Amino acid sequence: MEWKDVLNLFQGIATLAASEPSIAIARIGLIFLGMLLVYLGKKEVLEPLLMIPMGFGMAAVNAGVLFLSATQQGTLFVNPILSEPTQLINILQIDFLQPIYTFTFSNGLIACFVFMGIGVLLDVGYVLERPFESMFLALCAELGTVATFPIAVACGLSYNDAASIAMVGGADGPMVLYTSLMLSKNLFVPITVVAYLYLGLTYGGYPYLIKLLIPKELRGINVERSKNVVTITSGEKLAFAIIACSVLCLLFPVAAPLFLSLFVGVGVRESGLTHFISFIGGPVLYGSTFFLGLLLGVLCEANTILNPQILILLLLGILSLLLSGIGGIIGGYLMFFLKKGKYNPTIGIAGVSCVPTTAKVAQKSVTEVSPEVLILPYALGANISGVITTAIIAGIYVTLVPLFK
Amino acid sequence: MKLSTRGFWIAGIVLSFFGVAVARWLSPQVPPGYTLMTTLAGQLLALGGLFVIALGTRKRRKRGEAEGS
Repeated sequence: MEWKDVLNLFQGIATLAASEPSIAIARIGLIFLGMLLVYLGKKEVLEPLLMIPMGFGMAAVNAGVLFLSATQQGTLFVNPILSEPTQLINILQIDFLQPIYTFTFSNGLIACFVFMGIGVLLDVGYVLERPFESMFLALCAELGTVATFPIAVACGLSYNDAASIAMVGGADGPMVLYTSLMLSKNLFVPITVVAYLYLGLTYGGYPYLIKLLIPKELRGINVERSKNVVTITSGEKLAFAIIACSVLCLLFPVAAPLFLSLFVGVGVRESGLTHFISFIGGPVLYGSTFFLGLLLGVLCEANTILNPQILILLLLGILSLLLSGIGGIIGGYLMFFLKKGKYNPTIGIAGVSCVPTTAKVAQKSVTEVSPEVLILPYALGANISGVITTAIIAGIYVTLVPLFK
Repeated sequence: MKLSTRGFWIAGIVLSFFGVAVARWLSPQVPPGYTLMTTLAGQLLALGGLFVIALGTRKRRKRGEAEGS
């Protein structure tokens, strides 16, 4: 018996030795990156609901590589490349995450489940109370989603890939996943991983952007509220949800699953169906979030994710989010001038549709300067409008970009 | 012409579905050079209709607040 036979008992290490040096180094790097994500998730620097399972998945998939045959290495987690039906049925019985990947991830179902959960948590009344302001700020905050597309094309990406990475500026993970699955199947893993990593950073990074662009005096502006507040009825919200769902599905049938998922969640909430609200807002949302994070981590296997375009995706992703934040703040300033100084420009950042993170970021930045000022209702209106406008832009990209040839 | 809240809802729904008809039914029938423009115009009309509905609820809310104070 030779030493290499002993090494074959520990195939995770033997496959490292048998791989090309670049792949071996990448695997080791991704194992440590997975550990780092778990640490950052525990410290709540990044979103722990996603980063904890993603970190574990990333570390495990890069460690657990074995010899599938004399010449082929692989894992027993998931094979994202297979599409031939016979091979797929075979692998469904071997790779333990393959059924979840094939039946919920690659067809966008898991993104839709997360969106249903988001819909149940949303109160569209905030949008209906201040539609002009909310929509205006949300549109301004789509600067990154729109401007990054031509920049990405100029950097050499195809129209489909450019649209997919531009959607990172919409700051909505399920929509990035859905758009990249529809338009850019070969890059959807790195694009979605980049998107979720950066979205986790908005909570830490956007406050600095606010401090840089908005002086203290303006951050502390109190927005006057009427003493006699009249709320939007649940009937109005429900009617708006079904009409908006129908209109948007008619306009963009390719994105209809996303619109249905969001508005059925809103409809369930406004109908007062408590069992559905608990079910969708609880097990569906958190279960989907867990498996989304786990699958994203597992898909970060060195052979799958190492793509020469990953660096350009990293740069374009951060550019897209940065431009969206700047666009939102510009929108806040425009509202400040339109209202002759009676508007807090910080609210603009909430137009970036990371619900409710950016609304909380806006309120926190204001509270640091003026603890008595409450801008959260305004910020939530812009935040929720941001979700709707990002869904519309996703629908526009998915419908129109394939026509650009 | 002042619209009641119901008027805003009706106008908004009609405008939205008119925009859908322009974007999805009319645009494939226009000459090729005008297809994109017609599609975008229809989409803007449809989204504008949703905005009109939201304006109606806002108007009702503001009227209620004014009466209350």
